[in-house]
Amino acid sequence: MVPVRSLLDLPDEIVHAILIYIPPVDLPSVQQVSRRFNRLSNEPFLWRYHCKTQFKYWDPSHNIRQKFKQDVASVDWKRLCVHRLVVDRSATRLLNSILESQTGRIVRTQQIVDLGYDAKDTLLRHCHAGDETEDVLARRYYSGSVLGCLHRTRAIEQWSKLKFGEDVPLERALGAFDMYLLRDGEGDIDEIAAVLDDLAREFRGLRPHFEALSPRKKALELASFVQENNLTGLESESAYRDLYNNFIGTALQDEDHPSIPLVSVAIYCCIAKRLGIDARPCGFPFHAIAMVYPPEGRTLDGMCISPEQANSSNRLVDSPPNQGQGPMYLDPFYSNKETLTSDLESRLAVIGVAKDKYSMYLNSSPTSEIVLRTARNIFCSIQEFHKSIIDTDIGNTRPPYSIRALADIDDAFYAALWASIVLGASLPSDRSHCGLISILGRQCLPRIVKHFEHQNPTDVTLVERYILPMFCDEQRDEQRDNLLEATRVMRAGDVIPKKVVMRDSSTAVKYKVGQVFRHRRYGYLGVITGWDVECGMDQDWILQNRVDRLDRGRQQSFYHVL
Amino acid sequence: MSGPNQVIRLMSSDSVEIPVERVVAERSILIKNMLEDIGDSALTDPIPIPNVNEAVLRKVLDWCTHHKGDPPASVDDDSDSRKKTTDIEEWDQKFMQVDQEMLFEIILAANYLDIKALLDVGCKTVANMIKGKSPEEIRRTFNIQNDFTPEEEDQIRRENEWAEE
Repeated sequence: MVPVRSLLDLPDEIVHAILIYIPPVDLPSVQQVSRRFNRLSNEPFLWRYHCKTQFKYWDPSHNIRQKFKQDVASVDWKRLCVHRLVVDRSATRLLNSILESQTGRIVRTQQIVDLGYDAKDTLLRHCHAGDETEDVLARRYYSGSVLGCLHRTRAIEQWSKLKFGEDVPLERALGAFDMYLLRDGEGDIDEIAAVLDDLAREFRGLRPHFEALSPRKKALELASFVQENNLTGLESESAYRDLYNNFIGTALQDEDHPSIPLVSVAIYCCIAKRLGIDARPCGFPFHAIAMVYPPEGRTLDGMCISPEQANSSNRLVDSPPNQGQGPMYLDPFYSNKETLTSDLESRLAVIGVAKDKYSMYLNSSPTSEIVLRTARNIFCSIQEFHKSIIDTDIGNTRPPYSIRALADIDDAFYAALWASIVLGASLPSDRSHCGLISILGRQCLPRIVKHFEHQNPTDVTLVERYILPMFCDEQRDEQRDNLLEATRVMRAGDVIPKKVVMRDSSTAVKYKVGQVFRHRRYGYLGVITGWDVECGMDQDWILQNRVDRLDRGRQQSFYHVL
Repeated sequence: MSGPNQVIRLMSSDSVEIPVERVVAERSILIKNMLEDIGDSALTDPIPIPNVNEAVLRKVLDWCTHHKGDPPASVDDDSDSRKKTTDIEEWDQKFMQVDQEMLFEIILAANYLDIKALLDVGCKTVANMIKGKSPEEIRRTFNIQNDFTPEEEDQIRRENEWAEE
């Protein structure tokens, strides 16, 4: 037997098995060892493997799901992998400089966001920095903050595309809301789409004869499927206004899949679309329902329609119900049965809709309208929540709200504001003199500004990119001027180094940072984390807390406490 | 005596007979399949292992003895999509502290005898010897000749500029 002396005596397949264990950043060294190693470490299989295992989230521009399905040789896996490694390094470097310096944080955050969704893996890694990391808390906080900005950027992109008439699948338009609450969790818009893909595949597996059915039977089969799997609806009516029921991603991930009718309908329609059923949400008021359209040239029962008949069937609602030429209605929130047009018409009659307006409510609703409707539902949920707090305050039994839940309410509110401002329709008459901003948008704007000033200063870029252009340049517009000023202040604050104020004896700041105290009037225990020589809060806060009613008003030292 | 504790005999390439418990030998899929094929009756003769010499075969069987109770490796249906770690358990690390020649012999034997877990440990050990080294250090470690022309070397270095800090 020939003695084995060197690595070079191993056959290619074993060297390949070894190289699999070499992290991709070390492969360039291997490549430079010799011709054989150069060849072996350039194998597309190897780089594809690393693309698949090292990274979880990909920028949509890569179209990665498609690439993984393709023939290995048809993709430049090495280039793709190297690109990701370079992004990872840039993002880490930028994050480190955010941690090192208080100035330029907005700019650097934007630079990371501009690296695209590829940066998400890097940010997640830093979000989960181990306890032994020297700057663990700051690192987790700031990577989380950049990640939030990245998620919101992706969300607003969806809505903006919708606004400008691009086709955005329903689950992405609604999943954008989930992005605001996502943090370091699972369930982004790509993952939501993947869950729906899986459900459609599962359904096909369970119903092998599905393709042979008429469109009507297909729609009903799917309605049974979502009912059987409890994918839609709510367990109890009391939780109807629970905030999370408005989020398609949360609904799909939760074991019980709770959702309000609108989201139930969306889930139904999204799975249906994957099965080739033309299902769309209907614009029916109060309780959302789904409608299924027959395929071109056919009835829902699978009959062919002659051209003359086809023309008459365009009248949708006017045509006699259930003849199969018009659409059918379904209420996946409650049942797996078809909802008759006559039932819906009588419901409309009850709420006082004039007969000639029926068709308006019995037609399909554009995706942008569904997004706006979701935003309204979120506002309602939040209102309901605040009311419940007031109610329980009176009864003195406050349900235990986690900090996470309170933060989610804040973020959901912010999401609904953005959806409203981006998609709120401006009346054609407004466009000429006010730009594209709608009345709804104008109402939301002050709240958005307040939110981004206090909680998400890094969103200034989103404000500049998506909100400012909605205003018309030529007209004087106070709201626009205020917004410009707010973004300018935000940018300026980012680049000017924070001034260090020295404690001097002339100022009347009595206590030092770190002092633990009990509040004389309110009795709580706290610790001082900072101070101002005089009240440094804005006018709203001063009024709200009646500062001017204090003995020495706002001209006294104020403390930041925890 | 039949069953897992039955002792069978293996014959190394240098014609040394090594008795071993059947359950230990069956860590090797090659031997396991062979035993199933020939049936218990034919076990009077030692089983020839023509590609592995005595020293290596004993070493491999040491490993098999230590790992005889391990659960069978899960079916790697989609091994391509799982990330592989280079962590090696302590006993295996000690086991692999051998000279390079023995290391590569073990890897080749594991490959031939179809002992996947041992092959993995061997590959990881070599990978850990490569990781974090410069090209020159790798060449020195494994006694590899640099057979690039200066032009080729230059081109590859340019290709890999991204990796330079």
